[in-house]
Amino acid sequence: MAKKKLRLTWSQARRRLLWFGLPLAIGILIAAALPRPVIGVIRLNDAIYSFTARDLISQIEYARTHSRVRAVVLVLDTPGGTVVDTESVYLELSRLRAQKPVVTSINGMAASGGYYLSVGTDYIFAKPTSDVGNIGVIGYLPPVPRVYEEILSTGPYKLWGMPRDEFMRQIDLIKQAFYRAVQLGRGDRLQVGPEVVLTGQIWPGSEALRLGLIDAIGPESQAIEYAAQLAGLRHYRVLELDEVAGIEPEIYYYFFYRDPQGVTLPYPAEPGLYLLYVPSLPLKP
Amino acid sequence: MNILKRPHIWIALALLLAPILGRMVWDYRGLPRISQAALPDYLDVQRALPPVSTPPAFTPPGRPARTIVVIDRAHGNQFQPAELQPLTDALTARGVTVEFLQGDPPLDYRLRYAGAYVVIAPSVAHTDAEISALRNFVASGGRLLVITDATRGLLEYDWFTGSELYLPDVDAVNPLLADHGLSITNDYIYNLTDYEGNFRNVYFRSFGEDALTAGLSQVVLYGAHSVNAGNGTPLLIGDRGTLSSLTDRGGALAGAALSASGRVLALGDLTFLAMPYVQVADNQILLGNIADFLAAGAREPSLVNYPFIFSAQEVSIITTGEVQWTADLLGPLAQLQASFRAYGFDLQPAAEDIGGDRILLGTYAPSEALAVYLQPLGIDLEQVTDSITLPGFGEVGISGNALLLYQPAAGGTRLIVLAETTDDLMTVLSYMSTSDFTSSCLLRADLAVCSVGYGGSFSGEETPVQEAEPAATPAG
Repeated sequence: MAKKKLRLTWSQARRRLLWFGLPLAIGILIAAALPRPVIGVIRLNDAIYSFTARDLISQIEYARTHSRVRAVVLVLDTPGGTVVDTESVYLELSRLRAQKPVVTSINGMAASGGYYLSVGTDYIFAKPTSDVGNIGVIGYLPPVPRVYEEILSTGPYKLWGMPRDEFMRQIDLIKQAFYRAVQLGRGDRLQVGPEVVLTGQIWPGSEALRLGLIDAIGPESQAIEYAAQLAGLRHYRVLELDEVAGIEPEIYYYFFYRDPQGVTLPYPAEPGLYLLYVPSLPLKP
Repeated sequence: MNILKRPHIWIALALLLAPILGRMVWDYRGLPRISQAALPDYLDVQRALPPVSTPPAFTPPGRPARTIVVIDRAHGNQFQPAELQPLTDALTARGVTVEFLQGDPPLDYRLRYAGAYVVIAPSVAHTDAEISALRNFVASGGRLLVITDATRGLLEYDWFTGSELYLPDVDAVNPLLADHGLSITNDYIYNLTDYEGNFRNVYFRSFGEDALTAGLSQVVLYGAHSVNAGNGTPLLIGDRGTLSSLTDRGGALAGAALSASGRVLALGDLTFLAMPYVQVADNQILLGNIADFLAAGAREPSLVNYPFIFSAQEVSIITTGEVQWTADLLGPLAQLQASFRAYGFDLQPAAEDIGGDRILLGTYAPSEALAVYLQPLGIDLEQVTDSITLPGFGEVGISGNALLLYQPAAGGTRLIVLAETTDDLMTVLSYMSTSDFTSSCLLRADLAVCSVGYGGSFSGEETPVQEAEPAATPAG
């Protein structure tokens, strides 16, 4: 019996290309064009005040509104900052966390307001000697109210803001809210009660792990991998979100007080309420 | 023909999706784990308000205390007088006179008439002499109140090295308290779970048994040192959660303590006595009890406290026996009257002894007017020759020596001044014009023997002079 010769005519070949090759090619092109999922990295290497908070919120907003950002790693090295700016960032982080995993990686320090932000994330990594904690509030009491001959106001606290006793109670109010955020953020992982947490102590990362203030000791890369794991990612790209979030050029602003000799001291330049770690020794050049 | 029935439609679709699915499998391993982030309920966080009390009802005593309370401002004390207004008002309402020690006259002088002495947050220690004077003051019935405050230390800046040195007030008060079994720790007490507005404002709901804690159910101290009661009584006792900043441990820490003698009170906080903090909890009741404590200071009468040995403002001076108001005596009397006026007494001569606070001038010659007072003391002027016998003291020569006998009594204090001659009386009256003349006398609480002359009279009689023998005229 003679062999049948399989011969495709050009018409047949063209039809097969059209039905099989073209979809495959299109599929491959689409697959190649799909953006690789991104782990966004947001860094804070400064105190938390209006300008740094604005930059953080811009990046958080970018992460929240761009679907390719599948998870965020918040890298912290901060002593904290103003109460209201810390709360602003914390609230934005909570909106982000409702959509995507957020993991914290603590470098040198996440004290006070910095720690407040970290308890608003899913998981906290730190180095063994990272400074963690300092949970509490500080503030400068307003002056004792008095009257001036040349300055008129329309109420006893128009010049002073509030009675000194009221100021003390508001600080305690903020502290209670801070502690509630810690309780909610850490949940059962927190191993100690308020008699330890509210001392305002700052702990090294290894001790913070034992107390349940953080989740693991590990480098930034591990935090990124864990964020990817939470996001269900196998292959991804790491993107510094400050490069894409449209951050405005840095404005030079003295958050910390500088004395007449130019020495920067670890005290805020402006009076107010702070979630801030103030070390005992002044910085000297 | 149903296009969906054509197999190559599905193959094409599969080929289209395969790379996309493959890419997704490559990039993703599963679904993301999104946690249900919970926010604190910020509106649920309440700020605690202080337990404000109404001032306790106070009825002014029928008989004012007439105590003088001296408040130290001579040792770099870290307070403003205005902060003490609630306390000084409470003292004034009890008939107490408040003085501030600042410069002259010095402390030992003021302790002669004070019933209580108050030291608040000093930065300079009392001298050894002052501490000794205070020891005697307390031993004789005076009250001592020592108040410290953890926020009232002195910050010194070393401009050369740039370092700061913090000088706590406890360093200056502990030498004062050591004699009385009390001390104050250089710490502050705090409570992280049960506090009034801030962790360093501590509640006290346990109290030691004493009149100072009468009527108290809870007291708040604001940034207080802990006080060590030693063998005394801790008055304000913290609970298990009240800790010391020095150790971060508790153990019935005290915010106030009373010495075993009941005359020295140590407080670890000043702020609770000032407005508005005195209006919190039972702080006003405690302030009233402290005012009662100070007003009750009454020292045992003693000649050591001359000239503040009289209880009334009016003091009469009476001559007895052969002593008369001659021109010689009137000068020293006027001098004594002027000095008494400076001490706050009105000294007036009287014709006869009608009671009240008085000075009786006499000689060692027998006197009916003095016999009635001297006989109960075992002193009989009839037996006086060259010397006088003083019970418990011995024989004292009368020549050149003056005797002061101090007899405090409810009906009037008597000071009997005896000397051999009018000249000696002149001298002793001149000495009595100075406040510290007893420092040159042999002194007891009720008796002083003072050297006032050389013996005999140096006016009236001529001093005998032995004439020299004429020298032999040399032979010419």
